[in-house]
Amino acid sequence: MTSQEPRSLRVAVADDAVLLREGVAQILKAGGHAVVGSFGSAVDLVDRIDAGLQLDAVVLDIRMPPTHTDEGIVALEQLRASGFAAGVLLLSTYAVPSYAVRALGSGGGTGYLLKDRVADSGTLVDAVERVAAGESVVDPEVVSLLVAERTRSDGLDHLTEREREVLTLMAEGRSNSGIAKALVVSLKTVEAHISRILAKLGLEDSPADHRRVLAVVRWLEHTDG
Amino acid sequence: MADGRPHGRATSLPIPAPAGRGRLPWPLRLGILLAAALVCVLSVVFGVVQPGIADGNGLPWLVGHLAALVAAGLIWWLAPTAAPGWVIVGYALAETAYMWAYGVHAGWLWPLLMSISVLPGVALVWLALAFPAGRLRRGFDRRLVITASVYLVTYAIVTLLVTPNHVLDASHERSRYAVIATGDVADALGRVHAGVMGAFAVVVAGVVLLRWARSSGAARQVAFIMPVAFVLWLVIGVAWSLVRLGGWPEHLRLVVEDLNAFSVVLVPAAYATGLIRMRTIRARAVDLVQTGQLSETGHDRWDGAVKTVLGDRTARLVWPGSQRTTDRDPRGRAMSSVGDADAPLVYIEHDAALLDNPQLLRSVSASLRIMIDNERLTAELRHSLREVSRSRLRIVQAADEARRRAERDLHDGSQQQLFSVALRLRMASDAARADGQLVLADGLETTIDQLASAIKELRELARGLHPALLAEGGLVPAIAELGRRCTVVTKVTVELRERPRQLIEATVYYVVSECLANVTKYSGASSCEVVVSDHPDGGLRVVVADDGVGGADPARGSGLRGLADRVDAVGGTMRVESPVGAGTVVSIHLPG
Repeated sequence: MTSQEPRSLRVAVADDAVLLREGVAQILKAGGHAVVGSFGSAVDLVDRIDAGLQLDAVVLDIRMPPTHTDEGIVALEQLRASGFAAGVLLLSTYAVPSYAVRALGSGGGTGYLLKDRVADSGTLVDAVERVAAGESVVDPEVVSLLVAERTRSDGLDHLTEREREVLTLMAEGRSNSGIAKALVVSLKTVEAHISRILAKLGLEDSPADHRRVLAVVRWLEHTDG
Repeated sequence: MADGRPHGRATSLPIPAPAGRGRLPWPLRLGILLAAALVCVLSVVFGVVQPGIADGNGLPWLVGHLAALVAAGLIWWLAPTAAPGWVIVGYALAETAYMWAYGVHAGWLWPLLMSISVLPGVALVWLALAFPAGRLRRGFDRRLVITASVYLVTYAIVTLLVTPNHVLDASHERSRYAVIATGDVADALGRVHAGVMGAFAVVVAGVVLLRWARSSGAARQVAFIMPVAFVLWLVIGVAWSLVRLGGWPEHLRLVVEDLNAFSVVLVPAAYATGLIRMRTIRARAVDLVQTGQLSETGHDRWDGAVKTVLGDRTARLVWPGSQRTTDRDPRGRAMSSVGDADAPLVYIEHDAALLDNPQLLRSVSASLRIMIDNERLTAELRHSLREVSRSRLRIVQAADEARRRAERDLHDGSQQQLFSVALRLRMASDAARADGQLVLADGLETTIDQLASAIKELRELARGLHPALLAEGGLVPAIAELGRRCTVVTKVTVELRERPRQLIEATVYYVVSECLANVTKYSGASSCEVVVSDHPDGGLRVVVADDGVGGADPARGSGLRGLADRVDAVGGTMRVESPVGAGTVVSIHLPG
């Protein structure tokens, strides 16, 4: 984890469900962060940011008015296109891998989390802090869906069990140290696993963490790739 | 003519029972004909036995009369009324009296037979004028026949009274009825009679020919060769009368005698062949039904077909409620209604002459009625089919909409509330833990876990109702998601130029989802492929193929049956190929 310093983040929340929006705000406040904006639609959020609202992170519901489809992702893409560099955490009711790929594809500091997760102890605050720090976050359920499906199609036989665990954590957006911590192994061991996995999958290592996550998630998603 | 009914009284033509063929049962008719034939034969054998009689050979006479009796049999068989047959039989028998008069020498009998034999000529006049209805329709005709009858009866009585001796045969007894001694008066009367009959024949022939020349095609079709036969018979009769006046070469006289004998068959034969021809014309009414089936739109072709079948180029159909009025001279026109007289389906406006062929009109009427009924029923059937498929589509759409709405309500309502409840519980448990109330914190966390699994279940339920992904991202991510969740390795290709309508999208999703569920449950396949693409003929094509055990039968499995129903409801088609042991391919074509 890179965000050890107890810095208070300026966060905005956009969700059409008022209760949830306020709940998220309270969780963030309880986590020591400042909620400086609360919006009922993605358009309002984008307008305020364009008007100069300074933020470290945004929590953004995907499905919102007016079309109730993918407003959150569209807003994310608009923000990135206009140079918005702060962290963006997308919330989704359903686990949709293609959304995760799309979200990550917009750039670093992006996360994709199921709404169920907001009530997990510390998960939401942790995810917000990670995207604010430029990391990528992918919901474990999405990753397990992808890995299960990938395992069905080509068995992932060329990976050891430990390598598969590492791959899963990589796909969730964990940094090397995060993976080391989760598996209770040394950083060196993790690095060794990672380079072997990337070699086996034919993926290039990238200095930017989020590129690695994107590559892994994409590889997982493309069954026939 | 507010109701569109053109002027003139419409003749109603209800569908009749098959036309009666005379009231007598056929064995009796046959017996009467055979008896009449026997009388004719015997009259020649026993009547004309002596050589040297004026008429010489009885054979032409016999042939002519037997042929007339055959014609009478045909007419009895074909005509709706029995009268013409009786008239011919009566004619033949009355003529026979003339022959008997040669063989019977008794003075009380031969004069009677001789005088009777002047009567029957009027029978053929009646026959010719009554064709084909079997009765005299015109007042002129009736007066003509009555006049001729009165004249002939008078002449017969007068001849009876003034003829003392048999014409040529001296062996006969003197007539008991003669009031004068010599035959001079009878001879003179005979000459006058020949002249009168000649004049009468000329008048009748003239009338018939004039009528023929002025009649319409339809009338000629009905009359057929009757006028020709009738005039020919009259001409021969006149020639014979002239010959009897004397002064003609012997060979010419014999030829005319024979011709006259044969000519008695002309009118009966024309009557019979006319009836046969009308019968074949009636058969053409069947063509009408074919026309009705051929022409799906409009009734213009019906008009043409009716003209052809009736042989009346002026005929046409007048539909009730139409404001068409005839521009034709109403005289000589007739209206026949088809169907119920009070509420006819259609009127046929035609030449009045066709009323003489009522069976043809009835056949045409019956055919038209069938055509109209058929058209009506077909239209009703199409209409109900259209309604049924529309309502089925509406049901599918409504169900789809309801599911979409239910999912939306779950998403926007219950799910969000549960999320925020979970959130608050989390904050409470965190606070409790920070406060050192560990028991409370643990209890709250257990509640949170239970809530989390409830949320998960609710989410699966909502996803089953209507996948959010379909609404959000369309078919590409939604179908990919289905493939991903399928336990059999599934390759998904979705290539569409544009997003289909909501209903079609939902149908594709439902279909693929059901197919993949079948693949998982029954196929035992190791791999599966789903292709959704634009169909070259428009709309889109969905193919789900697996390499499993095959043997799927849409007729039995309710799953495939339900799929087919769903596809059918939106106007698509579905084909299942599933040979045992060779996998299953479900191909679906949906409208765009």
